[in-house]
Amino acid sequence: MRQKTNSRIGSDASGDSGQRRFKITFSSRAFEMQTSPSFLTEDQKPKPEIIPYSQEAMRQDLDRVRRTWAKCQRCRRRNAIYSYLTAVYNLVTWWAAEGRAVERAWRALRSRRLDVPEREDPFAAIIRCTADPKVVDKRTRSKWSRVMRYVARVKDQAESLQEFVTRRGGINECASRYTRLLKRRAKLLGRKR
Amino acid sequence: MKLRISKTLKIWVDVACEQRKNEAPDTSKNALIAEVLHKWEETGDAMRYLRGDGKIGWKATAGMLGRLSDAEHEAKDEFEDWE
Repeated sequence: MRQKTNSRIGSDASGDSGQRRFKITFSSRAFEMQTSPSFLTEDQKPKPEIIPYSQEAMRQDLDRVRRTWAKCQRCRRRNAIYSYLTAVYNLVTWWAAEGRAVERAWRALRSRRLDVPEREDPFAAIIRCTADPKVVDKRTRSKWSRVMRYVARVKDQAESLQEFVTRRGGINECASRYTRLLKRRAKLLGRKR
Repeated sequence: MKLRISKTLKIWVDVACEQRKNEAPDTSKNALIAEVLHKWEETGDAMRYLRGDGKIGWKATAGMLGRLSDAEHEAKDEFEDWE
């Protein structure tokens, strides 16, 4: 929440271009850190697009995630939601590995004629594109998105999302852990300044 | 340019490349593979994913694997009928 305020201050800053540049850079870097998987090294991101990722290819990817959503809604198993979260997570992490998660999430939203809020992270955006809004309200979307951002930061690539989240206490616990992590980060950044 | 392709997908990409090679003999193997993957990604037969080593790989989609499995069963049935 501090980042949001800062970026607003940055863009409203009167005349101090140096300060403005710093604020914008800080906010975009923080955003990238939220979506980049923890196991990627600096030289692994971002990559040039060797095979172009067309609109049609994205449509196919989003359709697959949408089908997973439909399937998990039909299923009565308690853990069915993990298949959907894994599908969203897998899509966004390979986008992030190419350094294009934000850009593509915006593209996905535009392709569905949905509004594109600048501060929405790619996980939340893809949930909005693929899940039924009557079932997944803003709070749930935010919670799932925090879980996936936490997983992207902490999880080892060898472990599955479901295993990791279950081991760490479940969806609600992982969402709280991520909130705590962000608070600690904000505190540290505050101290540095 | 190194493309990391799963075993199953590689077999079918090679088959498609062989067919395309006759149509465009001057095109390099890598360019042909890229062309095939690009087309198959658009038709929903191939997809990219993040591998365990943090690199991007290509694999056949569940749809393609399902079709391959059906074709295999059909071929087996036909073979049994023929025997």
